[in-house]
Amino acid sequence: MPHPLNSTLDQLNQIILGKETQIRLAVACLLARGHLLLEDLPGVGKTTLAHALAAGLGLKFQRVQFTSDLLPADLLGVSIYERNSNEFRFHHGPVFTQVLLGDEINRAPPKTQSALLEAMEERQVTIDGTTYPLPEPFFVIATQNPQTQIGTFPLPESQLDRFLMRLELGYPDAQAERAMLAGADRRSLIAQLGNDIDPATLPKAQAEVAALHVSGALLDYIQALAAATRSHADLAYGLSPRALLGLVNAARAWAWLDDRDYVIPEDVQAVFACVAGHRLPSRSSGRPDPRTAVELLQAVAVP
Amino acid sequence: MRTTHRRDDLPRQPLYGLVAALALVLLPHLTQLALWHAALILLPLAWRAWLAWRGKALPPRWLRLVCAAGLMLIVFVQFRTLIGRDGGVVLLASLVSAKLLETANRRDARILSLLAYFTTGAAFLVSQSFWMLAYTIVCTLVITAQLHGWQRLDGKLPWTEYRRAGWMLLEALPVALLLFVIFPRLSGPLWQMPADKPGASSGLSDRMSPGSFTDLALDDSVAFRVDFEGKPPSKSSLYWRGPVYERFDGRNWEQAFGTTTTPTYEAIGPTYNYTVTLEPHNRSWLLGLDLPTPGKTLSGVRITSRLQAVSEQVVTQRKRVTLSSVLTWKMADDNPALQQNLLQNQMLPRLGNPRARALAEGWRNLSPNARLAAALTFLGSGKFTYTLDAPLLLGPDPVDTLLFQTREGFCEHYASAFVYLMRAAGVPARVVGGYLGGEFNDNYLIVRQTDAHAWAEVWLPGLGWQRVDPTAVVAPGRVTQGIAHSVRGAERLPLLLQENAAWLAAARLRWDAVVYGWDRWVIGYDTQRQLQLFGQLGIDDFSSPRFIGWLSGTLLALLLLYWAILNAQRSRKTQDAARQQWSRWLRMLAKQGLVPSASEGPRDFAQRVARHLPANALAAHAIGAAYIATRYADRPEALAELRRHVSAFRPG
Repeated sequence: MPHPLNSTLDQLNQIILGKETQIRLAVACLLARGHLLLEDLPGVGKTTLAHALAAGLGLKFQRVQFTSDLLPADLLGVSIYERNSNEFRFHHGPVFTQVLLGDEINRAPPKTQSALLEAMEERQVTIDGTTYPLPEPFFVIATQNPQTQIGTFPLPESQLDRFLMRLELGYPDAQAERAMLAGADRRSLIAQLGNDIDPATLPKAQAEVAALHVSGALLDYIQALAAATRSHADLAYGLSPRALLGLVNAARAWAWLDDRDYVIPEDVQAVFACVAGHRLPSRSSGRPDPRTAVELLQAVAVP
Repeated sequence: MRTTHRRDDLPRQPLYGLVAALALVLLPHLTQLALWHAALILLPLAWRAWLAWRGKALPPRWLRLVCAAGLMLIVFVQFRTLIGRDGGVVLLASLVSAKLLETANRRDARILSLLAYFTTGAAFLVSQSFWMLAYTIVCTLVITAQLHGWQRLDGKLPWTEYRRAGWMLLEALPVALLLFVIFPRLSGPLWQMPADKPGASSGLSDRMSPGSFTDLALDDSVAFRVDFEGKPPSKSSLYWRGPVYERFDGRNWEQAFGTTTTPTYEAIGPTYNYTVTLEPHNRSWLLGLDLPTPGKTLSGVRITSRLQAVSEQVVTQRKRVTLSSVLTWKMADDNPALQQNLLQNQMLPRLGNPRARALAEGWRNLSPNARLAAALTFLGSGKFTYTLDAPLLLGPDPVDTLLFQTREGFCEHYASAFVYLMRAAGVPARVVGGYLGGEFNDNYLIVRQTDAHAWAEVWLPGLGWQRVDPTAVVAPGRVTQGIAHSVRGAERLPLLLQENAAWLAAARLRWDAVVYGWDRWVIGYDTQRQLQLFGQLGIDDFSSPRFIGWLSGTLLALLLLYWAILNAQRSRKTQDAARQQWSRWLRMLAKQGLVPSASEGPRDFAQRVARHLPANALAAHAIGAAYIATRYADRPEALAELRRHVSAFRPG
């Protein structure tokens, strides 16, 4: 039985052309309850993807443009004294949504970055001693410009680790680009999305993903991969246990999208590069090198 | 001069491992040195460890050179040479230690580890004992483990590396044993092997003075060990004959020099063959039962005209000789050349001991046999005591004092007095030093210095030299039961000879068996034994087809053993039945040139197979699905299906 998100995937592929794998990965990330980091040049469709993802799944969507003067209160909300009622009332910030698109997250100062990342991890916001839960599901798509650009605050490793996946979109191929240029405006297409989706679909799918069977043989493979990252000569350090949990969940989501109720090594291989890539900083350059993850994958035998 | 500060690139933990390994390896060499010299040689080790700990750069080149030159100079001053066994080994140790000061990267460290192996081997120049073997095994283990440390990228040296090194050593053991057995031996040593230093009280001397055997009785160190071929003679006839004392100066007995004629003899009774493993005693005599005969006696052993078995070289290291002996014999006295020697054996100092002389001269009209009987009757009258606490016989007439006043003595006193009496009575007689009895430990005999004994030989017409033990008539228990039963003053005997130390003695016997086995089978495995062993396998020389056959057969057997072990390990790892079926399928496909890459998952591979072998596409998909179902979906019922599909699979 094909899963109910198939039609959603098809619709997304209509809007962002020629990026089937990335879209599938992004959806898998969402199904695994992880946050997504998109890293690419401006104008390749990061925002469109985020927007389409939210709309296609029938989720509320907010967008925040991160700038160097953005304060945590701008993001989380603020308590304001109300003269009428003689009390402080909390004004919810843009973070109280289901899909939050944080555009150019590396332009914000670290204080604001960390406020967002705390919300991502805890799925709640605490202001003036009061805790406000975030909506369920809560999904952050952050975009980041390549760090060679001027005026950026690169995310530290500890915060990169909070993103389940990091994706690069890249230029579309010639045929897809042509179709996009010839086709209708993307925004209007997005507006038509998601009207037919049942709000219970996503929570149900997420629950099914979390329950997917993982065999001992597969865990052997995941541990072998982890060991390889930890003893690799050029890596300052290997994958954290949190990263491994994320890897298992992402592989589950990938298997679920493939209509299976068990995980096979190919699922792990499909998600490994985008789950592990940004968590493996190279010893020589200090920055993650995406090729390392691919090399590791080729070197580690499937047990 | 350009100073080159080398940056220290080594991870600390394996470096400390290296320092520890070197210290361990150098230790046996340092025990030979003065304390200050040993400390100086260890200094670079401590220095290097300190530099690593503080993260400092290595010393400049000139300082390293000064260090090495200084250590070399000390060796030269101490040994007056830089080569040879002693100087060379210490030089090696010094330079290995100094080398650590310029060990800055992994390559240097590996070289140093290899040098450490070599230095470990050189430890056998210090000692070849069983303990040294155990020690060098520990050293080898540590070096191997830390050599592994350099292969690791994380710069750690966890305990698992020691376990791995241990396994590697175990795997090397069969090859080591094979090489030990078949590697051709040199018939002489390449260099002089270390001798266990003989102490002052390490056995018989070429002169017997009163009290010398009493001292020996207090020394429980091993004199020699004996393996008998076949049944050994009874314990009371185990007279191990050593030096023969013929010259008497009134107090001391000495060996006579100058050869005489060997008497011709006729053996009566069985010949005993046995192998004596002699502890070094720095003399040339060997110890054989009464009358050594050429029989199985090996070359390098000579039987003198006084019927002593002697080695052609002084016994400075543990020596194994095979000897043959007879215990009863008849000697012909028709040889005129012998008369000279017999006359010498009747000579006494002109003066002294008037009472003993008078007593013996009274027997002159009796037959030689009767004179002998009279002397033994005199000594066996019950008036004499066998004791370790014999009074010193300091007067001018020691024999008279013993026989008529103190009447207390040890074996050498009675042997000396008895020979004196016999000579005075006109019977040729001499004193023989050696050992009596011994202690059987399972299948071999241990003879200790405590068993040292002196007895007499007299020449009887028609019989020739015959053994007479005067101690046997004074204290018959000495011969039949051993010294502890028969001697007064036994509390002065070593603890192990006393009767209430039975458990200690038993433990010591067991340990002695280990040491003896080591000496016999490892140290004593020389050309002769090697040839003997090969002879038993029907191999006469190393180029015979039979030898080649044995060698290649053994090697093949070893290889098969390794292969079997590896296979067992592999199958243990893949006990998973699904995995076995999958491997079976992979083997079939390998013949078709289809081999999965290391990282290729089962689904991808099955799809690739389906593309390459369109005829088997369905089967390939089915096998892939069944394998995935068993292994990743944990559906054991799919195993039967997998097995069926794999069995039915016919590629092509």
